[in-house]
Amino acid sequence: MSHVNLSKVVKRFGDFTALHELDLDIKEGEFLTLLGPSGCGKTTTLRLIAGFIQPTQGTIMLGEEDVTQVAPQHREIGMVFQDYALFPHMTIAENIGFGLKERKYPKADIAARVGELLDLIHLPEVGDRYPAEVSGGQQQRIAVARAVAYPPKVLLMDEPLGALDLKLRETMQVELRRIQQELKITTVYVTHDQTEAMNMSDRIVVMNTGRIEQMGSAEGIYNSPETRFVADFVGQINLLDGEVTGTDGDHILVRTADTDIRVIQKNGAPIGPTCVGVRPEQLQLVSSDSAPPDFNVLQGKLVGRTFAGNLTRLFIEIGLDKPVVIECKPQDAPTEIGIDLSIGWPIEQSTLLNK
Amino acid sequence: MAIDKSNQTSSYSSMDMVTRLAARRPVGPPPKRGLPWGKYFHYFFCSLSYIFLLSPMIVVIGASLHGGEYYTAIKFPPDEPSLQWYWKIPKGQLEALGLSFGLAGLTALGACIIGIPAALGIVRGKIPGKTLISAVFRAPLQIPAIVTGIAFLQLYYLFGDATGLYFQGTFLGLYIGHLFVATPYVVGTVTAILQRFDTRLEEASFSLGASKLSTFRRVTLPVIMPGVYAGALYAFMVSFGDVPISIFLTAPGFVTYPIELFYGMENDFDPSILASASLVIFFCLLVLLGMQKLVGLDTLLRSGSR
Repeated sequence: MSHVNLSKVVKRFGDFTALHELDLDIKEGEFLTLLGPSGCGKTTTLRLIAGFIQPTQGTIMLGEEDVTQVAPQHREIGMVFQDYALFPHMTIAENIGFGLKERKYPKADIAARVGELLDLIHLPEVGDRYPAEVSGGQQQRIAVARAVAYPPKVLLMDEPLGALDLKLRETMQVELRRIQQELKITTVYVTHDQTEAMNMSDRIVVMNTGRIEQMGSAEGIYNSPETRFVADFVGQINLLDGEVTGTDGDHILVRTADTDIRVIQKNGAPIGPTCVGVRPEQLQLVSSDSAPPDFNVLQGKLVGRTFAGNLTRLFIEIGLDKPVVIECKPQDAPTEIGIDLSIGWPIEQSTLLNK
Repeated sequence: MAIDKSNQTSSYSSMDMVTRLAARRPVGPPPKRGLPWGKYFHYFFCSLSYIFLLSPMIVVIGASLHGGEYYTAIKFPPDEPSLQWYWKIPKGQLEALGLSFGLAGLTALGACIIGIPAALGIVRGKIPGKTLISAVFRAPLQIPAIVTGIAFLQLYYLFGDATGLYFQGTFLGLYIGHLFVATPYVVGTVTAILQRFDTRLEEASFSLGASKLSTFRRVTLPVIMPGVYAGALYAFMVSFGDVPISIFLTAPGFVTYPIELFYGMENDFDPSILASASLVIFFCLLVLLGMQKLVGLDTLLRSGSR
């Protein structure tokens, strides 16, 4: 177990640049998730740490050792693949013991360690079976056990739950997190599923087109997205395009949908086009005359509603490209489509995003 | 191929068929037909195929049991069945059989030693002209074997004249000829299985600390083994049954089994040839059953690319 450091790492495939000068520091024992859409460079980053591919420029440190030029078999990593990649011709015990046998441990020690790991993943009975004879979720846990059998400096997981169905995925998220914390192992996890990232990670790195967009805790990323991409990719958000027109005390004034709204921004913002992000659950229905003074208020018309069990989503046309989505309790939701409504939200809950 | 629904047919009477036809619906799933003609047709055709494929063997085995006087033609069905000809198989045939088995076994082995790395290079290698190389490895299959035989004989003469080392009529000369036609089968089957190989298995092995050599030995080779078995089996059969190449490269007193049979048929035919042929048939059957137990014939044949 060690910390991992990538410094100014560039990866090009021919003319295509998959990673632009990536700097990333992963702390010892941390569960870090690389989150992004396909093609954003997250898997490339993982494969660089694993050593399956070499960076075009930059250095990769594993603990105190520069491993940039070290072959994967000498890096002491653990890797879990999306399709598990268990060896089909070996029993599950042989799969888990593979790395130990490779390092010439005595048979009895290997057997003891395999037994210990089978207990850790709660599958003590399956040692003599073959991978094809157990379920997908079980194969996934076995793949994790195999990766950590010889304690790796870092555990790398490439969309390990991608092939499982939703229910199993949720159980496995808890399970993987438990195993990671029990072993206190530095982990880099790749996914395109933001819920998964938020459920499991100590820290999330949101990536797009080969660059880091933002990194931070799940709360930090969700509540204070720094870019339009992050705001849009992580959770649902209403993006109100507008223009910065000036300041009003601590607030920046933004003109959108023919209304001035106020946004807190400590560093100020240049006059010109901008975008304000508001989460659906932060929006409330208000009456236009009795809204609290620290609220932004917009006028609109109800154009649709969907019921989602614990809440109802209302779609409100305010004069922008897309209707605004707001979430409210089902009993508070108006039923007549077409009525005029006022929506509001506390000033401090809107985020100014660069275009 | 196995059909286990045969007893379904008994539940439909002809009366059923009439009512079913009357109730024919224009839409929806097709109604069940009264009599499974398709199935009967299927059985009929399968039976024909089996008769076609098995009858020569049945005739050979049957005629080998001929118990009467010496007879210069194949007699089937045999009268007074006995095993007498099995005791009269000439020593020359048994020696030739031994040579053929040894040669075919070594050919299969050699074809694997050449074919596996070749297939790995063709599928994995980053070498220019891969299509050309793969075409070269297929070429021996496209040359009529008799041409190959003459070409080798000619080559050996030329080589011998130049160096004084004559290969025709030697084991090595014959072996090279057999390798030439057998290797493409191993290259073909191993290439086919490598193209489906999940390279993540090798990455997993590297990540677990295994070297390249160790990964090949512990992961790659075992996973492609069905393809190797299939290719080796083809190579063995091609070598064992070969006449057109061997006929040029053998010498008196040094002949493979099919050539010995060929001469036997030509010169002094007697039912002992049928007897020894039957022995070979039984032996091959045993080998196939063994393979079935060992790797499963399905896997074996599925991994075959040709």
